[in-house]
Amino acid sequence: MVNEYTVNVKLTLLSAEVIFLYNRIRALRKENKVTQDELAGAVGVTRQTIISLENGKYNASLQLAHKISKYFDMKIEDVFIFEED
Amino acid sequence: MDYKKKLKSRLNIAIIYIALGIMMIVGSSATKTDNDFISSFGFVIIIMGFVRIRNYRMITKNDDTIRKQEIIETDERNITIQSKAKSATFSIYTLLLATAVIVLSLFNMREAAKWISYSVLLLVVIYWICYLVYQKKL
Repeated sequence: MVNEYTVNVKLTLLSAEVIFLYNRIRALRKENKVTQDELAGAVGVTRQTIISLENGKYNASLQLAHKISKYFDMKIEDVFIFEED
Repeated sequence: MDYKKKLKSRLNIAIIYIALGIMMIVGSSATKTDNDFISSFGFVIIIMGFVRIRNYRMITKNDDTIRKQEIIETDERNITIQSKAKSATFSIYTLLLATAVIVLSLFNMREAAKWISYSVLLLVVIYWICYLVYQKKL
């Protein structure tokens, strides 16, 4: 699941519990030969948002996560992966 | 609201801007008050109206430009950035005003310090009203 295209975002919760959020958008995009522009247009966001998501600078909302997963015909948990430390 | 309708209402606002600007300029010269502030303000409003109309024309060139603009305006990352920027602006502005109150008080400029304190108080009151409204909404 986690490969060289996967970026992780460290989420620190109030309880000091650390959660890592990985997303496989870049990997899936490459697998399906989809450009950032095409994905952005299909899910209704700017290309910059896709870049930020792929670089782990921005976390998608549940709605956007759902749209992206639907685009790749996958479950949300297969695209966005939570991992507890 | 449909995005095309939203754009149409923006065009109407632009027309209102221009009408208001003309009224201000005409009113200021007709009453012979020679109020430079009102006529220049009217002039600025007219320019703003024309800029809005120009933007409307550029956006509504074709369906593709409308779609692109809609994406830019509804992009969740852009909305988050705007929200964070507004929040930071509020914090910095409140801090600056509070600093100004202290500095003015030190230099014995009580009247100015008093009015700035009122504006800080007003900001805090507005913040709490917004907070309560959103607490009910969300």
